[in-house]
Order: sequence, then structure tokens, then C-alpha cells
Amino acid sequence: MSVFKKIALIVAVFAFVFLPRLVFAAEPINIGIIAEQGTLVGDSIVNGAKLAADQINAKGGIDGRPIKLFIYDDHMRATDAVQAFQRAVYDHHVVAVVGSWISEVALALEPWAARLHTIYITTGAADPKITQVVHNNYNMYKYVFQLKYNATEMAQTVCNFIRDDLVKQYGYKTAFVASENAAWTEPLDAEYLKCLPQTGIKVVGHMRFAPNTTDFTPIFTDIKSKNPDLLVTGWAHTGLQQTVQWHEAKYPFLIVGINAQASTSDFWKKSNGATEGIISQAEGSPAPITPKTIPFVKEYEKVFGITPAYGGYTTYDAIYVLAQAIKRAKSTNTDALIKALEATNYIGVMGHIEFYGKESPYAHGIKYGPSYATGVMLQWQHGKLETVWPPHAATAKVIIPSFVKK
Amino acid sequence: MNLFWQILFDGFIISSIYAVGVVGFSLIFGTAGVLNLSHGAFLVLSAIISWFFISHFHLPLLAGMVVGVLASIAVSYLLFVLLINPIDKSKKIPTTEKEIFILTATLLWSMIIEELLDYFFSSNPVVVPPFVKGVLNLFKMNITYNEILLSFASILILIILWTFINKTKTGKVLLAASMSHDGLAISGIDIKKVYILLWGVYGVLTGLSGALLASFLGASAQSVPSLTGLAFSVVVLGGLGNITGSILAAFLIGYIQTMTAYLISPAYTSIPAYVILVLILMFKPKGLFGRF
Repeated sequence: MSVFKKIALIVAVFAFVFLPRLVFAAEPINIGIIAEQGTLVGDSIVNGAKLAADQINAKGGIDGRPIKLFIYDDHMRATDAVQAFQRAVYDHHVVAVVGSWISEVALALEPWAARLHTIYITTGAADPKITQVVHNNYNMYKYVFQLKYNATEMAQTVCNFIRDDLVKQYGYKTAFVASENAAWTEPLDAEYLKCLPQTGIKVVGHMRFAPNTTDFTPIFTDIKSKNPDLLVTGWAHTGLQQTVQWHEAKYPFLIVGINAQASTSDFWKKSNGATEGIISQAEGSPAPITPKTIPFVKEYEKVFGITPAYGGYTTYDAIYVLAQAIKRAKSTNTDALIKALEATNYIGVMGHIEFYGKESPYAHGIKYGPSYATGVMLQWQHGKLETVWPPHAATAKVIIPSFVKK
Repeated sequence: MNLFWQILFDGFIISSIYAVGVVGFSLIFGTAGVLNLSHGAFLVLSAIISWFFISHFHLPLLAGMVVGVLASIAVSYLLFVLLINPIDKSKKIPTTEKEIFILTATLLWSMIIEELLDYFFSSNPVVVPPFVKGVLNLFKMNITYNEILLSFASILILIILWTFINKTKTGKVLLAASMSHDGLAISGIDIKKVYILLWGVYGVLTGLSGALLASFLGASAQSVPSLTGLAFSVVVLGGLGNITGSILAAFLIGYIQTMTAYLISPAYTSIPAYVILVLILMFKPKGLFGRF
């Protein structure tokens, strides 16, 4: 073999072995993740994104291009989130930004997604205003998607569960609604007050408390004086103190509704097990919601040592939805990608995901209903997170804590 | 009638916990002249460390609290050795500006602790497990035995502190220091030893009260500013450096908050207390009970 041929062979071998890697490394698809790290839900958002990106990359990326995540902590502040969004677009040239569970933050990012023509998928913020803005001015806000149920739909899930389970099984008749004072709980409470009477439950009181409340004794004493069977909740920024104080003082009403942080095992530890008996809505749970759900939770627990909060399920699905859209669009061009995202038809870990069209009042929100995804109701039972509703995903029946009236 | 008892009991419990939480702030200002803006960070640090050792290493409750107190003492001495003493001794900083330098240093110290706690333990609150279990049903209230115990423990700590300062020889040195540092020097007392004693007592006090506070109200890195704010308000209300005044002011704020929660709305618990504080600052700048 001549010297020339030898060199050509070596070059060919090198090209065969390394060129795909070089090309692969040279053209990652950048995705920005903005989350409230240090909060249970925010941590789950980041972890869910990392897990999905790692899995996609391990299987060769998106048409050979790996996903590269750029993770930003907004410290629960809209100003930090806006700066992160700008950095993601200007410095890191992201294809899309995913994340944030705080509605006030997501609403602040919305105009920036419009101004910078960059796709933003919130995987944790529940305010229906996020998608109403898209419906009202589609051309300007078409960049924004909400891959989670909005607060109105969350309240419907809670009401459906109360109707199917608590009213039918236990004959509960009255409820008190108490939510933290935040943007997302306004539509939530409005829907609770509308849908609870339709389930046969009489609402005996309604209260909104400051998110910095730490002593819940006056609140619980007031609620107890109205003698409700159920305390229907909207808690996400708060949750721990009232859960512990309810458990320790053994108030005789059942807590059911949204206690967003309670969907992770970390919350169990931080409350020293006081979460026992609490029933909460969530986007996902360690249950056979779809064939993908349990393997995801197992893998998540293996990698991160805890089970995911709802933001983990939604963000994991969001990265896959985004990856498939890029694949279908055969491009990372924003307009092509929006069209591809709008055509999403994907079975994820939280259910069947499709987005509402621009004619819907929840434009670019995910479709909600029996043939799509409805969310689940969870309950901590003997230190284990069980799914108690809907029936097809249920892993256990509701257990009423010993101190709660039956 | 129930409402009266509810306000009386609930107000007493929350006020006694507030009192033990803020008394250290008053002590350190009264004695060393340091307005410690990292006070909230001390409370949260000891609470989280206690919780961590109880929850993760399965230490018994009291042993976990001891670790929290030790952490608080360590951070207290670190603050003194690394910041307060060097600023106090510095010849580059004019004497008139030292107070503001120390104030800023304690604020930065607070931010450092807050960020570290946030980084290592996240900003989610934690609750130190209850010392006792069980509920007392009284006047249609569910009062936990833990709340009653916390309240008595707080009062006991305050009595021990009061006795230590007013009745023991060592404690009287602290009292003397709060009146005149020069007087102490003339009496032949080494002011360095006084500081070592003082920052040690401060560490123990914040360590204990942090764990007590977090057993009822929980604690997180995010609650640092509000706890410092609470300490600051109570101490200004009571008269800066006046320990007895601070304790009385803690009860005043605790009861105003409880009455607001019961009689107006739990959504505005803190507002009336802060409005009263502003009025006191305007019309009685030395606080309700004055500087002693």
C-alpha cells in the first residue's frame, strides 16, 4: 500500500469514527429552561428536562443533533426570569424556552416571547390568562404554549373527583374553600364556587389568605367553626405549614384540592410525614396513567433520589413534544415549529397531549377531557403516594384519616 | 365568648414564641451596640440544621436541637471574629461610620447565610418535628400539646435569661456592658471576655429559639428577611436595647396579629401591626418602653 493510500485510509477511518461526532457536537439544538430552582416544583421542572434530554441524546438526538439545555434560575422573580429569557435568546440562541411554575412569571415572559419571536412553553403555570392572551391576539402571542392544565380545568378535576368519590362513597355534603392569594387561584376559586354546588356539595365559606402566612390557627379555627366536611384548597406557593398544623392539631375536615408541593416524596420528608391523608390534584403520579408513566417515575427516582412533583411530568413531556415537533418540521425555524407544535398528537407520561387551536379561549393550552388527559388525584397513604382517581389509573382507594369525620 | 378565649390562647402562644425569637436581637444591640441584621438568618440556620440532623441522620429531637445550637454558636463567633471585631478595630474606618459598616456587614452576612441555606437545603420550608403529640380541645379550639410546650419553653428561656442577666455575677457584667463600656474597663473587666460571653449567649439563644420557632411556624431561607423584620419591629417598638420592653412588644405585636386574623381577616395579619409601628416611630421614637 502506497503512503498516499495509507494516509487516505487513516483519514477515511478517522472520518468514519469521528466525523459524525464532530458534526453531532457542532450543531446542538439549544433549549432554555427557566425554573424556580430551590422549590420542589422548580427542581422537578429542571430534572424532568434533564432526564428527557439525556434520553433523547442517548438515542442519537433529534435527527442526529443533540439537545443542549441552558438552565436558568429565576429565584421566583419575574425580573430575573425576563433577564434569563433575553439571555437564552441573545446569548444561547435557544430554539425554545420551557418552564416556570409561577403564573406571575409566565405572564411576564409572555410579551418577551412575542417580542423576541421565541417559543415559550410553560410547564407549571396554571393561570388561564396565559392562553386567553394567545386566543385574543394570536398573531402576536402564537409563540406561547401551556403544557399543563389551567386552573379552571384543575378545579374541574377536583370537583369531578369529589362527585365520583367523596360524595358517592362517603356522603360528604359541605366544603370550605381556602386558597392562597395568587394569580392562579382567582380562576381556580371561581370554578370551585361554581362546580362544587353542581356535585351536591354546599360551600359554607370561602377564604383567601396571604402567601406568607405561617400561623394557620386562626384560619383553621374559623373554618372549623363552620363545620365543613371538606377543606377544598388551592396551595402551591404555600403548603407545608398548614399541612403540618392541620395534621398535628387534628382538625376534623378532609383536605382535598391542590397542594402542589405534596406530589413529591421530598414534601413528605420536609413535613415529617404530616402529609398523610392529604388529597391533591396533579398532572402525573407513579401510576399507570399511560404505559410510559411508571417507567418514567422509576427512572426519575433512580437518577434524582426523589419522586417528581407535577412539573417533572409536564416538562419531561414538553421536551419530547418539542423534539418531535422539530423532527416533523425538519427545521428549527420558529414559524415552522409553531405549526408542528400545533399538530402535536403525543402520548406522554401525563396522558394524550394535543394543543387547543387559536379559536379556543385556551389557545395553545393542552386539551382536557376523558379522551385526552384529565390529571390525577393523589393521596399519601402510610408514607406512600397513591393515585386514587381516575379509576383507570388508581392504585388505591381513598383512606379517611382517623381524626377526620366520616 | 369563645372568640375571646381563642384570641387569648392563640395570641399567647404566638407571642411567647415571637418573644424568645427576638430577645437575642435586643440583647446584642443593648450590650454590644450591634444592630444584627442577620438575626433572622441565625434563627433559620439553627432550625434547618436541627431539622436536617433529626430528619436525615435520625438523631433524637433534643440531640438535633443541640447540633442546631452548636451551629448557631459557631456562626455567631464567626460573625464576631470575621466582621464585627475587625471593623471595630479598624483604623481606616472613621469611628462615626463604624456603626453603619457593622450594620452593612451583618446584612451581607445574612445574605451569605440565606444563599448558602438556599443552595444546600432549597428554599422550601421545613418543620422541626413536634416535641410532644396530642391535642387539647378547649373553647372549640384545637390546641396541640406541642404549642403549649413551645410556649412554656419560650417563657422558661426568657426567665432563665432574665435571671442570668440580673441575678448572676457573670450576667451582671453583660448588664453593665449595656450601660457603659468605659465603666467596665475602669472596673478592670476585660471587654474581650465580655464579648466572647455575649456572642456565645447570643448563639445559644438564637439556636434554641430557631428550633422552637420552626417547630410551629416552619423555617426556610425565604423566611430570613421577614424574621429579621419581625425582630427589628418588635425591638424598635419595645425600645432599642430594652430587653423587657422587647418582650412586652413581642406580646403586643403577637396579640395585634392574632386579633387581626380573628376579627378582620387572616389575609391582612401583619398590616395593622406595621401601621402601629410606623405611628410609634413618628410619635414615640424611643419606643413604647424607652431605652433603659
